[in-house]
Amino acid sequence: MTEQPLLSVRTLKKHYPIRQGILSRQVGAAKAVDGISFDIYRGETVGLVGESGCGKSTAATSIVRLEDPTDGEVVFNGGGREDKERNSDGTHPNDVTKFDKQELKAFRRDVQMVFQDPSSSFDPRMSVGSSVAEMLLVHGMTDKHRRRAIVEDLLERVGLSAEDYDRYPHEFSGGQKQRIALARALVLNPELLVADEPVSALDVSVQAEILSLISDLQAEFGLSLLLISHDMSVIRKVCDRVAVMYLGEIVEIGDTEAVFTNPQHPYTEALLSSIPTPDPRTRAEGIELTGTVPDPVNPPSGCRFHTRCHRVVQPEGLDVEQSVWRGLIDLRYRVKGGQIDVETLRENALAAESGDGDGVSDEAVTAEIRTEFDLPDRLSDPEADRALSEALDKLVDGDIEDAAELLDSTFSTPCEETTPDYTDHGDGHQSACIRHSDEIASAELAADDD
Amino acid sequence: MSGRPLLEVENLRTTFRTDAGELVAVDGVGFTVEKGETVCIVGESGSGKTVATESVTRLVDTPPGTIKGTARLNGRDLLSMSDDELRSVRGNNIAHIFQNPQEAMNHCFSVGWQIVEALQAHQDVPDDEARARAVELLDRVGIANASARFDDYPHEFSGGQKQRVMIAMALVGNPDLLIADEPTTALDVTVQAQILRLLDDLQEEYGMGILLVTHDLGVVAEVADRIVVMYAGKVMERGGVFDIFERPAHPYTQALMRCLPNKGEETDGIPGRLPDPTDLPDGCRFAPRCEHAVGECEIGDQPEMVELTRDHEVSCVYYQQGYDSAVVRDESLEAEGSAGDAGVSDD
Ligand SMILES: Nc1ncnc2c1ncn2[C@@H]1O[C@H](COP(=O)(O)OP(=O)(O)O)[C@@H](O)[C@H]1O
Ligand code: SF4
Ligand code: SF4
Ligand SMILES: [Mg+2]
Repeated sequence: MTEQPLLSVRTLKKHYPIRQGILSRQVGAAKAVDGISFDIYRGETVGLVGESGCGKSTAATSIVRLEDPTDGEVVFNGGGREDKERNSDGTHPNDVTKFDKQELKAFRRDVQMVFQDPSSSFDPRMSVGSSVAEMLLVHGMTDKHRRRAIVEDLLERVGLSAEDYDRYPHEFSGGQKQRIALARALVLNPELLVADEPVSALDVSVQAEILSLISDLQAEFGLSLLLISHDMSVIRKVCDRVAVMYLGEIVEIGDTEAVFTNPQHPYTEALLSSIPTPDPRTRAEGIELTGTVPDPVNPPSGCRFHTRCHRVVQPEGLDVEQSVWRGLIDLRYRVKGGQIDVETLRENALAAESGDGDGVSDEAVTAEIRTEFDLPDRLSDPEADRALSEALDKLVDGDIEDAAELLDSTFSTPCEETTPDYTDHGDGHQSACIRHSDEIASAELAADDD
Repeated sequence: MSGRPLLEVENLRTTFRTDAGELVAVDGVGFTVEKGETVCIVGESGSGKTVATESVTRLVDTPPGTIKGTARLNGRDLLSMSDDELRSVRGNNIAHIFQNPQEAMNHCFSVGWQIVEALQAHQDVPDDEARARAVELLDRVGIANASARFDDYPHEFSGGQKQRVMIAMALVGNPDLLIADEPTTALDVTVQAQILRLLDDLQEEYGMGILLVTHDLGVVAEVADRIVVMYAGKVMERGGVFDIFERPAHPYTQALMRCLPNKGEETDGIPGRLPDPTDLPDGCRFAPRCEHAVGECEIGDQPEMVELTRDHEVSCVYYQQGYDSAVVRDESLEAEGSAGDAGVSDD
């Protein structure tokens, strides 16, 4: 299929400089969006999903140029710009990131956004009808009566009534305000709608109504839709394709059904399994993802998910239970970050012993650390256990640096060394995990065989 | 002799004086919470869940509110005790956590000192001891490196960590009852799972009763022992978690269940909206949205609770004598197992 996408996002980046000191020197950058690529075809709904802080909203605002991206391309082939060729210097005439003022104005008519909080997006002193009609005025429709007629018609199409034109925002519920926000987004007949968490602030029963309204309007207006949500069930309901974001990157993309029923990236897998199932007979069966999204100023090396991944790969020669391996890496990073609190652990051990008051042995403290990280008393791999014991002894002795170094050299993962490439799983379904690379995949198979 | 419940709420009625007249937010609500169990109150927003729980601990401002009825904790009525007694109960027996932890925190003080303050408000402990206990609590709720984070300010914590801190603060008095109002609604699913797990562990450890307010039936299925379904200030149905999920009796409960994926004849939301709480309909509050409503549904009061099985009760005329409850039963929801495609036909 050689159909041209309506929107092509290519290696888009948005870095926010971190400045410090009186001279405001740049000391780093938060890599909120760090090289994402995807397409949206006409009439298609693409979802962007991930935990808060992973860069979804920044992606949206950079795509519609509410913010200027740091790098990359956003090619918009709508608004009569179809079938343009690349310029001789390699740039694209439809690259939104290079649009001039006039092109941007047209673009802002063709691409509309809807936000999470419908309350804050309306001027409380203006009737909702005028708020919607204002869009028409800004874009040159001077005939007042025509504006009113168009808006009244649109209010009805989003499930309100023409009489609502003269009412004020506070007279509407959250769900109704979101309907009005949709009317306002559609009044200029856009080709693409970008909706950032459009139902997260609403009650579930209202959420479902707004989602089905969005689907209906999309069909009716022939819209393309980029839907951003942290809620997988919302994505599943409305999206044809979905891109899963983690720490500024897309880790998996594909048809929604394929991604949901056959997730290929461990992060997607973990996200899906965290959704509580509305069935009291299947409780707490999910993969528990520990910790939160790391700081985008210093993203982890290699695969950015390796600090939390339940499938993080073991180095050659090591073969311990996977949950133990995860615990070892967690321990290693906590020690490295100076985040092991030996004193509190000593107290915990003391409380557990509840014996004589005169302190606890170092062994009891190291045992407490093993418990804390769900490590067994003895690792199945003797060599690894020796290194672990030695590191824990150093730690309890207060020799944190040496402990960290020893853990670092013994318990490192290929996932922190290699930045995974995308692997194709067919039908445009791709994921970026080194477990899909040939070497690792065959090594894992071999390990499973013993 | 079976002991009395930890919390026993009877005939709770909370009204507010408003410009539009008297607003009835909670109207004759009753439920119990036993020691060590989790009871979930579910229903759409505006159905009175929050007001009901905040009436129990008298967090509702009076005026403009008026609270009537009884709410006995370990046999003592919270609604009629003196302010001093209540203060002591709030510090020692009941704790409350909310959807937005940042709103309940003081931004000007370090997180550790807020816990210390909560501790010292109820117990006479010296600073260093309170500090040690605060660190211990932070550690217990899963704040990594607790002693170093003691001096950090609320803005230095993520949403999930803030909720952990609120839980630590709630544990200060070793409460018998924890009331949690949408505690995970603002969080990511991954963090939600962590917090639910934490609450579950703490419940086991401390033996607390938990009263959880949520609109998320996935969360309910995960944690509830028993469920109270509220609508427009009234209890529509009460029952064990399996009663409600596998044998929902009330048309409103059924409508909620049908909003779930893979449940019966899946629908998109419940048409219509909650009645105006200053102008409530006669009869069953759900009648204006109920597909089964008949004339009798629109007269008199909310139908009396009918006990279907032990602990499973419903307020709907069709379960009263002289009516055929088969009319409102929805077998497609009762099908055991999950994704069955039974009953996907039109009536
Ligand atoms: N302080 C108040 N003054 C007047 N009305 C209130 C007040 N607090 C809540 N209400 C009203 O009480 C009703 C029930 O609200 P609430 O308990 O928040 O529902 P839920 O928790 O189920 O979403 C709503 O109509 C709400 O507007
Ligand atoms: S590359 Fe390694 S850490 Fe990253 S997702 Fe795959 S297994 Fe997990
Ligand atoms: S009493 Fe009537 S209106 Fe109420 S739920 Fe039953 S059938 Fe519906
Ligand atoms: Mg509420």
